[in-house]
Amino acid sequence: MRKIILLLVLVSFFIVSCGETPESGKEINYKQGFLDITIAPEGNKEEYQEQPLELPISVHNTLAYDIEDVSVAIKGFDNHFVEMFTEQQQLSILEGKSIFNHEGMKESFLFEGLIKSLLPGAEKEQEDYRVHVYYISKVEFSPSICVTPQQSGYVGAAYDTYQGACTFQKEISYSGQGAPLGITGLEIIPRQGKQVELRMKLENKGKGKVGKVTLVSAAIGGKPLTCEFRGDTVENSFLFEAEEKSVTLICAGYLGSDDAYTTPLFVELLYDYEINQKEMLMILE
Amino acid sequence: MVDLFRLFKKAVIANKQGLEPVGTTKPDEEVLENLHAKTGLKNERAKPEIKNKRVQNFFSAPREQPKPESRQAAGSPRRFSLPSFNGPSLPKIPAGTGVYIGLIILSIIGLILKGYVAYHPGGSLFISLILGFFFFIAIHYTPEAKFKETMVFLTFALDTFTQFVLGLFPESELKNWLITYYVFAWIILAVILFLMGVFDTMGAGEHLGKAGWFVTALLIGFVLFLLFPILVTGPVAKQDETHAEYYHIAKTQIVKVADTLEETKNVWYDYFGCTFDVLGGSYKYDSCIDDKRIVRYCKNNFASTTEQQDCIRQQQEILKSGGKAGVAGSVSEAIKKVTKIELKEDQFFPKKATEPRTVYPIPLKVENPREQIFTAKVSCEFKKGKEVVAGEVSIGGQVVNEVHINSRQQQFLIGCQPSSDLNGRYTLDYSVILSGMQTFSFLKRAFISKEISSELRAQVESDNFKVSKDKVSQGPAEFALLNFKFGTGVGTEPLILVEEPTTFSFAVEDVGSGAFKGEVLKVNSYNFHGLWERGFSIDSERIGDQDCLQGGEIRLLAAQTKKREPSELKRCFLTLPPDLGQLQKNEYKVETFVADLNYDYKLTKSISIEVTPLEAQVVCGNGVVEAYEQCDDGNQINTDICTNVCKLVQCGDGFVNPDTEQCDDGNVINGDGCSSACRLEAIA
Repeated sequence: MRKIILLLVLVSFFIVSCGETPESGKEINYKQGFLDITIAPEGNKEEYQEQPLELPISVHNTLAYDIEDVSVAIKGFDNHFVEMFTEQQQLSILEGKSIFNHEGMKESFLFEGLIKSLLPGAEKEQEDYRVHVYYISKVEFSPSICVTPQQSGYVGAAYDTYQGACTFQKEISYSGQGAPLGITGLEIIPRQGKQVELRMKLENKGKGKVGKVTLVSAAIGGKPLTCEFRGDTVENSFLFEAEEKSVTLICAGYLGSDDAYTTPLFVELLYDYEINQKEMLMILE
Repeated sequence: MVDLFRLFKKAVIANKQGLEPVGTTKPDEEVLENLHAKTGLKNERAKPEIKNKRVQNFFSAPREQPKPESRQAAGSPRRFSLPSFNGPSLPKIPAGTGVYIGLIILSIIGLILKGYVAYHPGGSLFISLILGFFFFIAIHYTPEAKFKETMVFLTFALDTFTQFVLGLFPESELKNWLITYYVFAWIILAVILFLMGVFDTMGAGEHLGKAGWFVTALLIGFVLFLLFPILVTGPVAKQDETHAEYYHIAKTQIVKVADTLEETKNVWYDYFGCTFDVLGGSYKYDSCIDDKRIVRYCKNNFASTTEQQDCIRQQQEILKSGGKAGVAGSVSEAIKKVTKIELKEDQFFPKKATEPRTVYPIPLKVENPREQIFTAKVSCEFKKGKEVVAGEVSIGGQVVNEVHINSRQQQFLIGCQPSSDLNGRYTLDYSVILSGMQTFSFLKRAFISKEISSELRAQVESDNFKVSKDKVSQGPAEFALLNFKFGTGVGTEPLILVEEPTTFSFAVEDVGSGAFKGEVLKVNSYNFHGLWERGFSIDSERIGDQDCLQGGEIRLLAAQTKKREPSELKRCFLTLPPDLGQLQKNEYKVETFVADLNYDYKLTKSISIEVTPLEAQVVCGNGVVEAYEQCDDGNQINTDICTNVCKLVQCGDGFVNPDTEQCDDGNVINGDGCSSACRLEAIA
């Protein structure tokens, strides 16, 4: 009997071991952390003068979202040394990481041009140029949060208090949602009349620049939130200035209970993003 | 000046005759009392009811007054001793008016002179002293002298104080104000005094009193202050001619525009005009003066409004860059193939020679990696103080002085032989004129749209202009650099806003150094093909040289090609190619432009040599038989075998050698008592 049991245990172990790995069976949440697309010139770093130039640039979308209206451009070549025949290329969509594509899509853009002559008597010339990648993408913020309309429930200066089914936290930090732009902080402020104010800090932690951010939708427990960006806003949009790295989105909504309870928050933002990466090409005699 | 002095003298005499009675000083009153005592006239001041009598006014010179003799006779002390006037009554001319007009003219001259010394405190104070002296002498013998003297002293005090402040604190905040006021203090004073004289004539002086006069003076001064700029606009035309002449000279002689500006001095009335602008707000006095000069200069040299505006803009740009209209450049380390021509003596060069006409050989080494084709014309001369001995040049042993260079590496042996005998120390000057040298320069610039983020701007600059050399035009480290630039300053601003139009200029810099040092003689041709091929064109509607992108010969002065400070040779406005002119927001383009220069360069080399001819080295009497000596017995006896000139004794030399000769009469003629064999003989 013992042998049978042992055999069964071994067989069971074998079956379990040979089955799907836990990772493959589990839905991986790519929507965390801050991610950037990867841009890489795939051609030679050195080229000879008076030769055609082929400059393949690969763009790898490692974000947790698709990027759309992708534009890749080569800028900054000194026209005296390098003439680009194609300076910009477009792609409508480049898929990001998902359960169907764990790596995200990678696309190569070939730029063609001509390397002209060096200056008389010069042996080489270093040409610095920039690869500009522009795209539009989105970021989703969907945590479950503990909310309470009870302002009186606070204990002293500390906002943590147990009121019912969950622990209410006034301020919560997040580590990104799988895009260069993400919500890094949430402040929950209960208001009179079963209202709650949510202040979300939206930060750009990528290597590029955010252009315009537009709020697509925001809801708490399925009920829409009324939101606006702090600062200059135009119709639920915010335009990042040159050196601006963050903005606060302020939303207000009604709660469905007098007690603290956990409820899903959902915020979807659309943004345009631009990365310009410095590259170098050495022209040889 | 003679007239002025005549008027002055006449006025003093007139005043002596006619105005002493109303003098205010005690000695004058004593004189008057004496006069009253002698002539029976009463003191007019004591009787205001007759104030309107002409004798009281300043301008009525010919009056019925006591004769000077009578005053002298009274023995009163005199402060001034001009010759007395004994003639008939003076004609009724306003002599005093002449004095004051003279003072006005004098103060205007003073003002102009102050302009010339550019408010150098020392020079300006000297002029003020002269002015003060003339004013004082003129005023001292007028009625109400004390009050007028006080005004003179006040003006002088203001002037001195100003000089003091300007001298000690040239950057004083007060500077603008002080210059504004003191420059015309003298002229205002002269005019006020003149008007006071007029009032005096009308009799107003009796009513006013000193306080009244003071207020009147202030009012007059203020009115003049307001009216002056309007009054002085007349002489503008004359100044314009001067400025046009300056411009003409500048253009024809290709001197830099900044020099033109420097020579184009401000006119004196600018200082007044600017007073209003300075008072009006934060406008700096100096800036106002500069602007006025520029505007006048441009208006007088260009007819259309557009041209004038361009000219003003250009001149202001030059002013902004510190008056330097130079164009910066640098030698490029990236250009490895560099033409080198070296004239350097080797170990075979005879720095010390004994032959007076030795050939002095020196190798001319040419490295010509870009295989340029040019000629080298050699000349040489020997100099000792003011003595110059021409040298005859040979190249490779052949008597030619010119050689063509066309291969990568060549070496020639240049020989220089003096055309006359040398003796002593000389400086041997070789000069090689390299004709048709070719070089090129390149300039990298980033053209940016007007709407560009500061971040992008910084990025473009850091990507493309990493070191300061990258910001200026560069060329190979040869002899001459063709420096060119867009826009203002000396050409170190690497980013160009695509505003229409952009200014362009170029200069040629002498960068020869060490063994390659010399002088750029002339530009044979220049061609900024990188610009016109790219679509840049000269804006012919605007001022500037229409040959600034491509042209021929330009003769150069050494000062124009000065290292690090070469002067602009041509300047013009360029129209940008459409693609650059229409850059959109945050767009930029990086371009390198190449230009060619063909020029002549004079390479020089000086070497010290010493020539000691062999004859000069022989010493007769030192016991050593040397060159040209037949003997040297080391003594000074002429009658032994070796004479004192180191020649062996022989018959007929005049010296009797007792061993071989009976006589030696210095000749070899027989029949004269001593035969041709130096034997005694009977005289025929």
